[in-house]
Amino acid sequence: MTRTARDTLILRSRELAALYRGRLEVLLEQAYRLETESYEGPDLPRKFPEAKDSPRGRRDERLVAPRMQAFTDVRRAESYFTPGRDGIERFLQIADDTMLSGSRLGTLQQFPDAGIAVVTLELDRASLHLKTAVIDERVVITGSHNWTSGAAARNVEDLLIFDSPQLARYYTGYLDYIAETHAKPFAEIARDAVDAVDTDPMAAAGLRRRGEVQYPATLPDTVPRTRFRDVNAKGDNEAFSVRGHVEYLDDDEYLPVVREMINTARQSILVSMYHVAARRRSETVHEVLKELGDAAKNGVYVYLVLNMPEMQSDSQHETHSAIAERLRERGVDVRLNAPGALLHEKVVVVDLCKILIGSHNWSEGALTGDGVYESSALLVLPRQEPRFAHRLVGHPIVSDMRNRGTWEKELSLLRHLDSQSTDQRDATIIRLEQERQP
Amino acid sequence: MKWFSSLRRPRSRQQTVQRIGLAMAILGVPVCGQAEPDRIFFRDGSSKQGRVVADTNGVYTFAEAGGPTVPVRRNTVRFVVYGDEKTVKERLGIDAFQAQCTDTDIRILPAESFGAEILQQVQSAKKFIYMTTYSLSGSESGRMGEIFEALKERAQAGVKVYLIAPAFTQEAVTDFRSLRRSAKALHQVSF
Repeated sequence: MTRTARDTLILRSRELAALYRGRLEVLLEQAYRLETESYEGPDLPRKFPEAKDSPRGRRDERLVAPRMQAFTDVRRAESYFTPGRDGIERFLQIADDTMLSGSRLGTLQQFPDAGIAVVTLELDRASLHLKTAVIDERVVITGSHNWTSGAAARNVEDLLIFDSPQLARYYTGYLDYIAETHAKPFAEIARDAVDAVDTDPMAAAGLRRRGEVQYPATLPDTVPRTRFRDVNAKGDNEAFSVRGHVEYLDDDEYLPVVREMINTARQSILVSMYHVAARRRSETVHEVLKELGDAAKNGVYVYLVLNMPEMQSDSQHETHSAIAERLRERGVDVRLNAPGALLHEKVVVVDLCKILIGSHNWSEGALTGDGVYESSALLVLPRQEPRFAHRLVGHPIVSDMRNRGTWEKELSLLRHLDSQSTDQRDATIIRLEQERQP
Repeated sequence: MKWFSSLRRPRSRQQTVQRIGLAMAILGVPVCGQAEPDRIFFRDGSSKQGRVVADTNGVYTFAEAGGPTVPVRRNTVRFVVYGDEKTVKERLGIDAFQAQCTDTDIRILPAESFGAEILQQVQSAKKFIYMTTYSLSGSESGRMGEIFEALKERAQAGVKVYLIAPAFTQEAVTDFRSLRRSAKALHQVSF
C-alpha cells in the first residue's frame, strides 16, 4: 500500500490535479458526495450482497481483490501487495479472459505460484473492464489505471483512492458476487494440459464431446509432440530460382484460376494460407473448401496449412480450427501453424508445377474482388519443383492432429511456452519432454 | 518430417544421372537414355525411384528399376515427381494454363532475404519505383530504415518514387512524408 500511495501522490501532482479537478468534481457530484474517513452518507445501492462483516481487529482476514483488465507487470503488482507479508492471508485476483492468451497468460500464471487465488471471468458481459482494488476492509482504489507499466509510466490516467469502510464493504460484496457467479478458477495451463491430454482432451479444451473422430485412413498419421525446443524453428528455407511462365492475376481474376487448378489436380494440392474466412455467408470460400474435399476424395493429396494466431481469443483461432475439423473428416490433411511463428503467405501449389503466390487470402472479398485490391501471380513450370513442397510443409506446425481436443491442447501448450520467460520456458520444456518420453 | 528430407531435388541432374546409371548398371539393367527416374513419395513417409508407366483411374502403374510393374493406389501417394518434362506436359495438364509471360526467371524468396532483396532492387532503380502495400512499418531503424534511406537517396538522384498505401498506415506514411520534404521526387497516394 505504501508504494501505491506514492504512485497516488504522483497522480495528485498540481498539474494532474488542475487537469482533472473539474472532471472529478462533476463525477463526484453525479455519484455520491464522498468524504474520506468520515463518510456516513446514504446507503449505497444494494444490487449485490454486501460482504459479511469481519471480526474487528483480526488482521489475518484482510481481503485484497484487485481486478485488472490488463495486468502485464507482475513485479509492479508484487510490489503493491505481497501475500503473506504484513499479515495478509487472502489475495484474490479476478482477471478478464483476455489474460488467458498470449504474453499475458505468462504474467497471470505467476500469481498462483505466489499463493494468490486467481479466477477468470466467464462472460456474462463483453469484458471485465473495471480496475478496482479493495484492501483491509476500508481502502478502495479505482479508476482507469490498468496495472501495467504503460499506465504507470506513460499514460494519462485517473485513479481514486477512498478510505471508506462502507465503500469497501460494498465493493467487496460486488466483487465477491462477480467471483462467485461469473468466474471460474484459473487453471495452470501447462500442468493441466499435460494431465488432460491423456484423460479427456475434449473436455480439457472446453469442447463438446462428439464421440471418437474417425478420420479417413488416407490421412498421414500424426502423433503427440515429444520435442518442444524447436517448435518455431524454421526449416531449410533458402531462396531458389526456377524458370517458367507467369500470369499476373489481380482481384477477381484469381478465383477461376485457383478453382481450375484444384479441379484438375492430378496428384497434389498444397496450400499455405494466412487467412481463410469461412463465415456463414462466405459462399465462394465454402465452395473452394468443398472442392478441396472433393479432390481429396478422388485420391489427390491435399495439404492445407493455416495460420494460428498468437491469442486464442482471436476469432481466427476458432475459424481455422473449425475448418481443420471439418476438412480432416473429408480427408484433407489440414495442419495448423504453431502460434508464435506467423504464417502470412498465401500460396497454392498444384502437382508441384502450377503455383499461385500473392496477396489473395481465401476470404469472400479477396476471392470475388469485392472492395479489396489484390494481386497474385500464376507460375506454370515445365518441370515439377519439389522445393515448393519443401517450403510449405517445412513450416512449424502443430504435431498432434488426431482430433480437435489434442490439437487444441497442444496449441494451449505452445502459446503458454511462447509467453514464458526464457528460464521458465526451459524449465517447462524439460518437464514436458521428461513426461513425454516413450 | 522425414518424408520431406528425401524430397529435395538432387544437387545436380548430372550427379543424379550418374548415380542412376551406376545403380542400374550394378543391377544389370540396361540404361536407356539419360532421363532422371520418376520419384514417388508416399503418405507414410517412404519414397521410391523408378518409372511411373501409367496414371489411370486412381492407380499409378509403377516399376522400380529392374523390378516388375505394380499398381500403386493414388490415395497412398503424396506426389510423383516425373523425371522428364515430356511426361509433366502430358500428364499434368500445364498447357491448359495460359500465361502472359513465357520462359521467365522466377526467384522465390523466404522472408529473411526479402528485405535484403528489396533494398538491393531499390538501390539499383534508375527511373521509377512504384510501391503498394497494405501495411508499412516505421523507418527509424533496421531493414525498413535502410529501405527508406535508399528510397530517399534514389529520389534525390531523380528516380520517381510512388507509394500507394491505405490511409491507416499513418505512422509510416508520416515518415514517408518527411522523406518527401527532402526529396521532391517522392509521391504518395493514400486511399
